[in-house]
Amino acid sequence: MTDILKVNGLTKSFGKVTAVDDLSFSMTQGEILGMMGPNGAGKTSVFNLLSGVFRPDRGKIEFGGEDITRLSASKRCKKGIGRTYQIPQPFGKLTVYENLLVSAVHGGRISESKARKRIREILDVVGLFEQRNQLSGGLPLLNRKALELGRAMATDPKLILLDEVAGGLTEAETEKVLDIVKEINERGVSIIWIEHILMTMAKGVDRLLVITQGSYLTSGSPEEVMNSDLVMESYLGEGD
Amino acid sequence: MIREPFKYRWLVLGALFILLATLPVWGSDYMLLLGLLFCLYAALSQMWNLLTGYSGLLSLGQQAFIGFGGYTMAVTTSYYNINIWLSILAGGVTSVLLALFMSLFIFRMSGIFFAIGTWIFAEILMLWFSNWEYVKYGTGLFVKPPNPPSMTMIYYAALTMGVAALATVYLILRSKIGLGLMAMRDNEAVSSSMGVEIFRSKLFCFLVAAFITGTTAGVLYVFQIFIQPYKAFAIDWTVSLVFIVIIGGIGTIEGPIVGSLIFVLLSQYLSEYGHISLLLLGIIAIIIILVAPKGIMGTLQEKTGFELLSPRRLFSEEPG
Repeated sequence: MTDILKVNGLTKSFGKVTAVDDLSFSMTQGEILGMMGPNGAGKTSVFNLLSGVFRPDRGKIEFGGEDITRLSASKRCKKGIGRTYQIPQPFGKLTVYENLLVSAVHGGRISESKARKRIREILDVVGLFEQRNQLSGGLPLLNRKALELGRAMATDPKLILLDEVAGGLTEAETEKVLDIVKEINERGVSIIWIEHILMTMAKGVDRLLVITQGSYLTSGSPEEVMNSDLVMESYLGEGD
Repeated sequence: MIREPFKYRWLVLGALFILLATLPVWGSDYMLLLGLLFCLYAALSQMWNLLTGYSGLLSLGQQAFIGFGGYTMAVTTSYYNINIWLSILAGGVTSVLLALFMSLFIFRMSGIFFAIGTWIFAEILMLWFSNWEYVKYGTGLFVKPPNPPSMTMIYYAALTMGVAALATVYLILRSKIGLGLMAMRDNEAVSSSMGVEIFRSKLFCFLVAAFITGTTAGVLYVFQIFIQPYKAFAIDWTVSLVFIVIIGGIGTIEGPIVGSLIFVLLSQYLSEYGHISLLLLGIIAIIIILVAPKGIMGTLQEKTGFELLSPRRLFSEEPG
């Protein structure tokens, strides 16, 4: 298996706070990699560095064998990195269809007429066909989470960064979202996944990566990681 | 569900166009004058709306292009005897070059800093032109084309600019760039993560607006016959455009048209009151903003879903 993503010595500070500290990891194509760590461990910061919202102070990001460390967010999206936001951020004054169209036409670089077909399919996968011509700002949480996934899919990504897609949902709703994530992965898309509720994520991922205070702690299969003393100490100790 | 755009929109727009196109035949000289001002203001305000209402570029310096385009036309046709229509086009081209130069500085800024940056450029141009012998300092220049066009010709040029501005905005909004602008207006950072090229889209709109504003200014000064830096580069231009777009409905395609009609008629009737007319215009603007915060067309759209020209994309089952 080839590595789709290679991160080497990634570092980012905000003032005196080092959010991401010399972080290195890699992932293979088609993998679902769960990222876990206590609150404030720097998970979302890692996503922002990978998707190009922030530039790292040091370190290198290679995607599909190409150095993308200096590329803008929009360029990275076009290279095939899609993302969702922890708090859904649809373009509220646009309809569901228009939201997906933005991603398909700009990120996915296809014409509007070609995008229709792709979006028709995505609307079915994420279950938003009925809502397609509704303003996305007025949608309930489950639908907005589904739209986040749909938007990321519409850019035709090779890698999707999922930031708490199940957060705030009921158990039944979470199942629906998990099914969508599986469906996306079955199409060959690699996934990095942050989820606060560990049990939800452990069910869906191939491998877990644990970070604490912005640095690599350990990684392994969900069973290995969940039973590791090191993880128990840093992760679960935090709550007490 | 979002409503489909008004069914008979092309009929309404077609009728409006025919009405304006035949105005020289059935209208009085005074009506032709009003029609001309309406078309020119509609073109200029459509461009300010493209920048501020759609591209998130708050410009207070449209007068830079009005003056620059106007002077280019005046100089090329009066000094070099170049055909008047070519001179007007030249004003559009030099305005684009000016916009490119300005963008080197002001595109590093955003929001209110961008706005002040555009204004400062216009003020610099005013100072420069009023101290430049080549354009006869602050005294101003007469526009003396080799073959002076008739009032009807000038009117048709103005109508062309009005229609061109409307069509340009509509086509941009229906294009890939327009879709990106709509997303950008909602959330710039997220749109960038979805692949929208923010800098490039904004620069494109800035250059388009400069071209149409500069060209329209050329037509305007062919009509006025005389150009002078303190008027041509005055902030008053942009103040009028803000008034028009705010009362008409910012971020709507119809807003600048409705706003221009109201502005031209009002300023005619209010001109009897001299300087108080500006005060009255201001009061009218405040009342409209209080009653309809999104402007006339914006509020109508919100309340009834009525739209003549919509940038919306609806997904219907049958492809089309």
